[in-house]
Amino acid sequence: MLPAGIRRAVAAVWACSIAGAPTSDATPCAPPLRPLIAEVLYDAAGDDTGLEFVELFNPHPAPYALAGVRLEAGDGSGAGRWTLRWTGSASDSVPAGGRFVIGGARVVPTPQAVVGLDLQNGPDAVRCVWPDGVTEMLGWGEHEFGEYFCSSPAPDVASGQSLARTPDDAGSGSNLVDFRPAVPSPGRSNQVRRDLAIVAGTLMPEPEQPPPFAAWRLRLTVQNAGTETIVAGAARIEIAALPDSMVVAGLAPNAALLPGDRAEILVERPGLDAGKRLFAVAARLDGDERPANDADSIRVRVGPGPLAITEIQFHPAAGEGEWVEVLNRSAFSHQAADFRLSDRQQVDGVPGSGAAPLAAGQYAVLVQNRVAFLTRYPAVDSSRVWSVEPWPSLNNNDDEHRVADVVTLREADGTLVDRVPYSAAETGPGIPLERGAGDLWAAAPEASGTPLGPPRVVPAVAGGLEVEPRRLTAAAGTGRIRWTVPWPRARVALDLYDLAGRHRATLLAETLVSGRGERLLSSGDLDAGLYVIVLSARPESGDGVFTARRAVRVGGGR
Amino acid sequence: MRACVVVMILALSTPARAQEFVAPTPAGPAGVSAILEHGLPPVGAEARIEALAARWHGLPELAARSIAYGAGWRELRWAVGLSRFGDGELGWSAVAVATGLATEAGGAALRLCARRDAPGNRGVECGGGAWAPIGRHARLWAAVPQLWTEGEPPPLARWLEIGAIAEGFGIKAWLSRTAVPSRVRGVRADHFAGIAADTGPITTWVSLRDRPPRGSLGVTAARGALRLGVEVESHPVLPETVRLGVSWGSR
Repeated sequence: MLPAGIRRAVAAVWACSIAGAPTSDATPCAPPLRPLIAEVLYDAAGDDTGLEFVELFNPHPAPYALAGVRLEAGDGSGAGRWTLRWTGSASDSVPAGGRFVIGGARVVPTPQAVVGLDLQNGPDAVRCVWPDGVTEMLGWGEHEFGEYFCSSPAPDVASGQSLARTPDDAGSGSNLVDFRPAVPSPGRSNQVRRDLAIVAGTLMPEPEQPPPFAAWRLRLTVQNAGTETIVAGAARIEIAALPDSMVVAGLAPNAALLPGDRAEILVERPGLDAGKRLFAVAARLDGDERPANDADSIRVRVGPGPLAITEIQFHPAAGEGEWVEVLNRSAFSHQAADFRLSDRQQVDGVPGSGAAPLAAGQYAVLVQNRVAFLTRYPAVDSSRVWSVEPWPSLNNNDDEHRVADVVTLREADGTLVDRVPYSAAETGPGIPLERGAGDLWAAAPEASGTPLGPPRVVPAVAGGLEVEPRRLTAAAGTGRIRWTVPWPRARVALDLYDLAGRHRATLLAETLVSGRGERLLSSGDLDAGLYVIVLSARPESGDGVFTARRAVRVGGGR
Repeated sequence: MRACVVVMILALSTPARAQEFVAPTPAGPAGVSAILEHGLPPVGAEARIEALAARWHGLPELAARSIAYGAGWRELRWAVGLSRFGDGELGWSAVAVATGLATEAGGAALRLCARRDAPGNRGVECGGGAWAPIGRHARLWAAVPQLWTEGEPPPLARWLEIGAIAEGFGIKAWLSRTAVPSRVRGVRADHFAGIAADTGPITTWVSLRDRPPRGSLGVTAARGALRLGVEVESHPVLPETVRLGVSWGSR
């Protein structure tokens, strides 16, 4: 048996390690027999002004006067930085079992005390100081000073979420345990008895852009956000096609949902003709106490959108800035301002509203820097060069899934138009990616790309592989390797061997590309010598191998 | 006897792949082609004329045809050769000369090769090699065939080659190491090993290389002054390289 002192020390270290450091045992939590801080919204989505609030909840059977109560905001970046935000007057009180909201003018419903709180996004805190000196503390984020939280700080929540005491009268003595991220609910209970919620952001079609007349599915997730179990068959999910609100499908979660449980719902849908549709989804539960989270809607694009993304320059090398080429593949003209361009970070860029309409069959280029682009490409039709603000900066490096970024084009109402995940490894430095036959993306045959023009068609190659010119010199240092394989799409690799049969370079690691393609070969990447280029191809699926070889000379003369 | 051993050893002593004058012999060029391609002089002073043909990696545009003549007088050795390699657009013509000295205690030679390709580019390379016996049954060699180059770079860059060969009971075995051209000099090397068996007028051999792993199989047959040879070298990706040779010597 260890001595008592050592056991206490070990226990203390253990307690610190599981609670997270720093901790503050001396800072007061919810004092007994008084209203509690029940909810705080310190980072509303978008502009915070007038939307922040602090909610007090009185769990006791008698009203509680708030005269002289002070609400203070703490700045966690330094010690002792508390500033007064609100002081209760003689007329302020919290009814028995009721709530009192202190917040901005844009909070709905209107708070009992309207005041601009100007709370920070963490690590920060609020505290209630009662006239007799008793204090309640709520801190969030990674704090350096123990005075700003009780036991352990609550997590710093995402923009648009509140920190809510859950359940409403939780009082474990730790901000971390008592408060959770929640959908803001000023003036209402934080956790209701019966509530079936559609989890925000989970409603989506599969596939994201269903082809015409092909079966598809709507996927969503519901959650039992109440404290009571929802028995099997008690809830129902309804799908309605808008604008006529006709219910087109209904089903029930097939198992009981315990409090906090989630269930994924898949709704099979028959094929539709091309166009865009709006679907509304509702979660029906008798006695649902929080209807605000029971509905969601989504716009579904069936078939191709009016514009297609056709070329992506994500790593410009000549100062022209990033750009994305689009093609109007519809039969109608479209305005630039009707579309939004985004990347994986969901930064919505808006094309300039002054641009000319894009006629059917025409290309346009969405650019990061219009002046720089037109300097690089002075011959293009400038009326079809659309400046986008803010520009969604495109990544140059692949993630673990071999995706560098996702270029997404939507209509202004959010309907998907086209979406292209791309790999930066598919192309050389400075060379744009271009959509080719079979909707396959590959390095543009022209190193500078073909903005406002169709992709250059690669001619068929006799014998499967051709190198032009076959002799590269310092003066003519770039050649083209062209291939034609017996399949429309194939996994193609290009390797380089010297005359002695030694493997000298991988020109193209095995990549799924069009059956007819092209790759640039620069003499600057190779030592002088005679080489054999080997093309190896196999079909996208199934068996078969195709190989071809050509000799090429890299020299220093004419 | 010792002189015979030296002659046989030197016949097998240049394994690194050359360009224009590669003969189908165990471990690479022998006799005339050895001094022309690597600067390694033969011990024997025999006069021999060789006609060579090769198709590299199965590609018709990489076909080579050569003729070479070599001879000696006392310790002096010399050789001269003409070659045409490849098709009109990629190919070139070459002339090579080499001279050196050889005794039973060792040998050394210098070689020079000049090329002219279809667009009229000219290039010259100059290098040399040397060998020395170790005991009665082994020999070491080293060659730097492109010690100096000028003009159009050679089609295949070749750096330092070192190797050793041992012989006994009609069996020969060799191992060599060749620095691989790369942007960082000396960090990579090829290795080459083989074994040959003499059964009267017939010699057969197999050899292995790395980067990538591959092998070759060859046979030569001699009748009087006439010698015929063929060698097929496999490759995991490229088609086979085939070499044919016929030579006529003074003995």
